[in-house]
Amino acid sequence: MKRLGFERVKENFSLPLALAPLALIAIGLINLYSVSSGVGDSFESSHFTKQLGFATLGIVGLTFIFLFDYRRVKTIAWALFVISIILLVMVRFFGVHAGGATRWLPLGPFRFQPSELTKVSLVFLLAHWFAKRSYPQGLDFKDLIFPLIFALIPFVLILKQPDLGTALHLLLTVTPLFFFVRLRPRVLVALVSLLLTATVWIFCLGGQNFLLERKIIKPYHLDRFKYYLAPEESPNDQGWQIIQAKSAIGSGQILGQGFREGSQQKYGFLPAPETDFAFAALAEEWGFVGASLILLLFFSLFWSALGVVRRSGESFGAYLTVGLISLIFWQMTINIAMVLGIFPVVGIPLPFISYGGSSLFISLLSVAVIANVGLNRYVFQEEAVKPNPEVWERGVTQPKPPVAEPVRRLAPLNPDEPEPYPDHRLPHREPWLKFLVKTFRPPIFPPDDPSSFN
Amino acid sequence: MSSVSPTFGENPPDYGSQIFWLKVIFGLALAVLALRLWYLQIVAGEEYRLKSEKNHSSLIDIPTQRGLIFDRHGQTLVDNDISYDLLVTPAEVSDQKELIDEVAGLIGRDRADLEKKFASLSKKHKYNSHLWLSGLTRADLAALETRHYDLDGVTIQINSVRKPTRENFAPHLIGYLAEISPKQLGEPTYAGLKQGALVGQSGVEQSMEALLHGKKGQRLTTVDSQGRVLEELKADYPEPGHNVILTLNSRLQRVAQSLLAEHAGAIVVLDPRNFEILAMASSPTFNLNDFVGGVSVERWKSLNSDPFHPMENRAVGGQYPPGSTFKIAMALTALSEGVITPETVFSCAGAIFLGHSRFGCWARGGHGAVNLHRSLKESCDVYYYEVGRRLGIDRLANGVRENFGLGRALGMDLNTERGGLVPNQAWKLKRFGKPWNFGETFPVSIGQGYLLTTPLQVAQYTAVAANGGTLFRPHLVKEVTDFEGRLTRRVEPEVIHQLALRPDYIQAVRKGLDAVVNEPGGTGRRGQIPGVRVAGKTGTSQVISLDRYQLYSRGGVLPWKYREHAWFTAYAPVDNPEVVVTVLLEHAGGGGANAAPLAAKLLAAYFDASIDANIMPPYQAQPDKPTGWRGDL
Repeated sequence: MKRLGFERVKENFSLPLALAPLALIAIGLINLYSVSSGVGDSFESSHFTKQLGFATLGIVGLTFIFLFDYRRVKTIAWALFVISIILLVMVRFFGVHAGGATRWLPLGPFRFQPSELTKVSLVFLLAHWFAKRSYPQGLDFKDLIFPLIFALIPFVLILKQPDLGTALHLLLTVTPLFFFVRLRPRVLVALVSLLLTATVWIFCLGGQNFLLERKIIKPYHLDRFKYYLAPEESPNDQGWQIIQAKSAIGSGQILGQGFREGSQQKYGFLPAPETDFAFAALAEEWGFVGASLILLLFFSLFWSALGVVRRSGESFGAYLTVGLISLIFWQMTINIAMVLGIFPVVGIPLPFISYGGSSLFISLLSVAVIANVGLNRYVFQEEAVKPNPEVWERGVTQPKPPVAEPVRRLAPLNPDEPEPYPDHRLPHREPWLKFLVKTFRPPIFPPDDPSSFN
Repeated sequence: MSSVSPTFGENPPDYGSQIFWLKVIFGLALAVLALRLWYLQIVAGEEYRLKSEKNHSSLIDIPTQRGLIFDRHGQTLVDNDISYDLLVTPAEVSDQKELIDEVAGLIGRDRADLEKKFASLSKKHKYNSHLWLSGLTRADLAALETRHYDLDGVTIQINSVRKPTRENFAPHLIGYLAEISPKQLGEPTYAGLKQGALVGQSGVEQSMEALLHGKKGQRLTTVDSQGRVLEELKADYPEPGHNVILTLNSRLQRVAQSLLAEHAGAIVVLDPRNFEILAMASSPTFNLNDFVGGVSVERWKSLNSDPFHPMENRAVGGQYPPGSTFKIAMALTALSEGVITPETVFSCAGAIFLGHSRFGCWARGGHGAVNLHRSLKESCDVYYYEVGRRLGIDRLANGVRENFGLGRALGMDLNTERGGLVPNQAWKLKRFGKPWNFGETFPVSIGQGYLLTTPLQVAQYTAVAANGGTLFRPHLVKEVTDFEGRLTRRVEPEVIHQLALRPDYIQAVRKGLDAVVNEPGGTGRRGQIPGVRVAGKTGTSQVISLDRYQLYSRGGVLPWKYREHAWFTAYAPVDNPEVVVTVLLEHAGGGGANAAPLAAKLLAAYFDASIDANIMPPYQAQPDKPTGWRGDL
């Protein structure tokens, strides 16, 4: 085990992971500059300057995260979770009421949205929880009890604010984590059948009315869904937003209308061009080329984060990375899909690009933690480069293996068969087949747990 | 690998398959987004760009003034009036309740009503001004102007509405405005007009629409999402419509309408020298003022369900058998075809027989030996039966069609003009699938049978006889000027046909028509007026078959709708005709007794400018129930 040094950083630093967020923040600032100079309303450059301040503060402040070992997150995971729950409860009593919902806590001149923090703290807690335990057979029902309780407490609290969008985002964020840890087949079957039943119940058997009566969902949620299906029917409200966003994006065409030339947002037809509909404003001004660039930047971010997962070499780091990248992924997907009119309108900002301090800090924090995982992987190694092609990238310095080159072979399909050289196993040629076989294979006899025999 | 061993120093965990699936999910999601982006921006991009451009540019119409309508002496018949509307811009209203209270107090309207109207204004475009109240009076306007500075967001808009200058003056000729119909929207005449535009729907307002309505202006501006105007890009200023000067003589028109007060019928006054229409009355009439600003449903229903059809212009649109007045056309046609000369004599024994059918003369005892002069003067039917027999139906029909424009609309300036009907063999075969019966020529020869003409067409052949054989195109529009009074079009008399006939033969016919009024034994002696020698022809056209008359001959009173139409068509002075008057009275009885006196009064009014009608007859008169109102000459 060696300390962090320049050589280590150079070897382990993932350039796209650092550059993609910076580029996205820059794009967001360009958009804010363009939007702030809109005709009609008074000149609001404060959006731009404020966001510039947030970005500087965030980048500088979060660089300090590199100084610490990410495993310290384990020590604060519980505390952070409890604090965020307390904050959520406080929102119910002391929150700032705006736009028909109570989501913010007053914080001096700013407003702080605890639900953003909750997402991160939940990821931290679940990663800690799963990493502490081992699930050789995958998660069983009993293993799901506590994680689900951890997820449902903030979910319900956020739903009560009411903020259906963030609540769903919270659930979506942690879902990949469960799959990443693996679910037992019967859990998977139960989950799928539950989802199907719920869908049928809600859409065909009058579950809507049940939920409406219990005030779990509000009538405007149904309206949003209706207008999502037929935006032209409601050109004055939700549908109007979708129609205007689509017009804005479409009118960008290939090269866009040019910087500060986007007429839809300039004349105020595009709703919220600095926050939720920032992508539409950018697509209008920069066209298909600019919008694809944004998608590519996000894709490179995800790709490098998955590289970090692969190289993490430790379950806690992997879970942490998966949870945090899924946070950004769902946020981006829901926002852009909503702007493109393939998802109902929910108030979720685009990470890095939309105006807003809370969202920016949380996204930056996520990336910083992921980068930290990537940088700290050395702690699990004897040497910088291990001759395992599965664990280590091949492009990086790869010294000669310590032993003579063994015969490489594919992993045996039957896991009961001993593997002669696990370190030299080739990547599976058909991973989906492997996944299916592993997932649906009956448990090894005799099972660890006699209760799982049914 | 499910065997996760976090222990330090052991084999690190392997998440290969999970990472693979995550990559698949991330890649799929981004691919879906990129595809959607590609569709929106590249496949449908052009459409969305147009949509977005339409979004922020706004085309505002600048209204224009419709052209005016004058009579031949320059008197205004239809003017534009001003109506005041109250507009309100919701965004500029500081206190809505106070504003409503204030306005309600100033113009004395119901507060609840104002409030309701205010609430119904569009919420979205609150920076646009919206119509709040319309039809304000001058007094309202004055009251509002005094407090104008306290009323935030309120503006007054001046609108132009059509205003006929006289009560009940030639409603059928002038016509009314109504909203453009969906069918008209597609027609080239109405190019550039939008749904809801008011266009002429009858009379000259309709036929001259293209000249009258002018060209409206447009202002292209950019607006923001709340409808605020940001800048003006382009402005086309409006062009007012052209003014139309009619050939009408208002005084004669008034007299003509007044004469028809108790009748259903029509009067046409025509200048035979150029076929200018000096007056054209149709009765019963309707009130043009009902149509200013849109006709009410009750009024519209009442007008359309009226059994006497007040909306119909009988002078050009009513088709009647012309009766004995047709003998003018018959005489001229027969002379030009050479089947008779003025000296040809036929014997009238009171009737002629064809097989078992009897075709009688109105004089049961017969007229004896009848030449052209006497046939016109005494209106001998048997003479014209013989003329018709000699002509044959096809020659007869072709002759009257060519010489006098019967059987077709000559294209005057009223869209309701109808052509009447001149039957011939081909028509009968087509209409009934049967060949022409020889005996059917006889009723046609005396203006009965299948023959139908409009009062205007009767005036046409009278005028042809009067002017020596020239058929012009009748017209109602004399001149068109632009809004500054510069002449843009003068309607010249247009010759359609010249009758090829010896002048002395025409003179013989005119002598006969002179004798109708002025010689003893003439049928139209009530058409005489002092000082001017009038020539004319009476007509009494039956509307039911002779058999039908038998039903009522036992002492029953003939119902109004079965009585004969009375015709009198005349011109004066006989030597140098200046005016033709044709009177048709529906179901009024004999033409000499009922129609001729009216024609005489009208001719008197033509030659004496001091005669005028002071009071106009009532609207929607009911001619079968006379009220005793006789007009006021």
